[in-house]
Amino acid sequence: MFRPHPLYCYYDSKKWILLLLLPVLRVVFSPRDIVSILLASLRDVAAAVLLIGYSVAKWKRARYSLHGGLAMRHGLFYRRTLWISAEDAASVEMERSPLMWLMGGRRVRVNTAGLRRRADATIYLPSSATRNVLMEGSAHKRCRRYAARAFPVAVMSASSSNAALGLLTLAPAVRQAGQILGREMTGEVYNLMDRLLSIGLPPLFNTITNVLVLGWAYAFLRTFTRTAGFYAERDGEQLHVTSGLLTRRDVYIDCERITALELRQTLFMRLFSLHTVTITAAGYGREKGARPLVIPAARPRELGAALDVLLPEYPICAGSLRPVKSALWRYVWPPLLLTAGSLLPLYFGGVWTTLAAVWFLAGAWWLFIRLTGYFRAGFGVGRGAVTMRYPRGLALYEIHVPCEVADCLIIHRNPWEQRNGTCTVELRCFGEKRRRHRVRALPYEAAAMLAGRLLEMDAPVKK
Amino acid sequence: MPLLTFSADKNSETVLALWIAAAGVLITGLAGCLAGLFTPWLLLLAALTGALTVFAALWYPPRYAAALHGSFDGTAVRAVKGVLWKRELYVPASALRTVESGSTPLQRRCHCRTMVLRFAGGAVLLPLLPEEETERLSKALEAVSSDELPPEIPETEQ
Repeated sequence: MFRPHPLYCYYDSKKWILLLLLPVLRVVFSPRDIVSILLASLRDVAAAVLLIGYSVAKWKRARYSLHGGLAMRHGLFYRRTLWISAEDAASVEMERSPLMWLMGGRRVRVNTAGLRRRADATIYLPSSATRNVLMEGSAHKRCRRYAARAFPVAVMSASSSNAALGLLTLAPAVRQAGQILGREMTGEVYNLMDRLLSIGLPPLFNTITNVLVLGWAYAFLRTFTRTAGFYAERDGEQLHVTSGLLTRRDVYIDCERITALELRQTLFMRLFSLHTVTITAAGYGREKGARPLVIPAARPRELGAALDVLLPEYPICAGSLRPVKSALWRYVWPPLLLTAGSLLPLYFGGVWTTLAAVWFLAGAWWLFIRLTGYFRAGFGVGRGAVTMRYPRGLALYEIHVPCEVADCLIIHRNPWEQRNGTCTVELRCFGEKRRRHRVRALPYEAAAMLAGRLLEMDAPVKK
Repeated sequence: MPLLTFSADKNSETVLALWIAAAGVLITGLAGCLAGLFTPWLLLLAALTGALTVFAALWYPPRYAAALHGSFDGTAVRAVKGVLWKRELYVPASALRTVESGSTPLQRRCHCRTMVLRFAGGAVLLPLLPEEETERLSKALEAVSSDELPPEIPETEQ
């Protein structure tokens, strides 16, 4: 049994280390004599030292072994012993931040097929140990490789960056920095944004715009640094995915455990004819904000070639069953209603005109997506797979699920659908995010026949 | 394996009617209390909920029981439920992780149960099935899943 890398102490006590900065900040912002500063900081520093000492004691008692799997023992008061066999590990993620690179350590997360919010085991190892572990699994010569280009990755990051997510991450950081460095700092950030992004909007909308742009820019940078330098390799039954500009992540996925392949396209990406491909594999993309990518952004031809290289045996079929022609209205009425709602602020005029314009644009954007979604929607069963294409939120999705992992198919029929002979098909299968895939307004008889075919195909496959 | 069918019966109708009646009485009582506290006009709401409860308790349960039916052919469970909003379920037997059945005191009195079929991607409910049919279905599903277990590997002497 070996002791984990000392980085364990840092990450275990990370939140308390900031308390040690308090005496320094007190010297900078309220210069007094050293004795009074030390006395004022004594309580905070003593608490921090105690908690850091606790982490160090935990690290000294922690042990791990890597023979046929991962055995781990840690904890002081509550001692935990964990064993994960190599066969049970569905994916292994190795992370290297700049600090880890300097210290010669790596964070390794091991995930099994269980539905959990966090990894089943997280351990800090010396880089030499991780190299040995990963060399064991890569005996074959790597010849099948896909590398993502920078421009599509930038487009994908720009398109999928969510201003709200950026704000949620950034706002507490700015507020906390403001509290530590003085109230002026928070104001300075927003003033700088004001100067950079002065586009002549009324003050209220200007502030909202600035906040949204700041959030979006942060989310964009976060996504881009996470995805840049992406490449994926197929090595026997293993898929090795590497990405990250500052923090490098290596993920090893057992190809047999991939339960769904999803193609996603936003309207912005559609302008560049780009698709993002993600997979569902136990553990991969489990962390908050992470997305289980295999191809960040690629045009159809490049996408087909990359999938042939990375997942040649993955079953895929065409979504041959299309929504009925009369169902166009069902797809477009919600965005049409939203767009019509923009007439209300337009009626009030004045500063509300800007809001009406933004409202209208948002509605039109959604309308285009639903309209494209209607023309692309489909459902198909064949060649050992189920395929569904549908619009959801502000993106278009295409999902391919092997028949043997399609857990449940539900056909919904509301009174309106019963009258015009249509239905909504819903597919449920295993996924980290527990999402349901739904295609609306399909002809009922044909959908029921395909559901029957799925069960017929499923039975011999599972036997 | 012979086709195993299941459907709701008169007892299921009774349970459903009693549930609707209890919920209706509760809501009507609440509306009556609010009328006493705020304005007598709310008695109209109480009367309306009372009337709706009587209508729902008489109209809905027979239709629900008539709509709820299904089958199991050894490979998959197929079921149809819902009166206005119909749902057709297709669950392959091999996808099932656990099969669970439960009953409230009222259901036990009326000899019916609720069945929960759990799989990796979630669960589906088959409420208010007759007790005997639930047992038969559970046993059939258990038999299928025990057939699928891998053969035990004999321990070798070292």
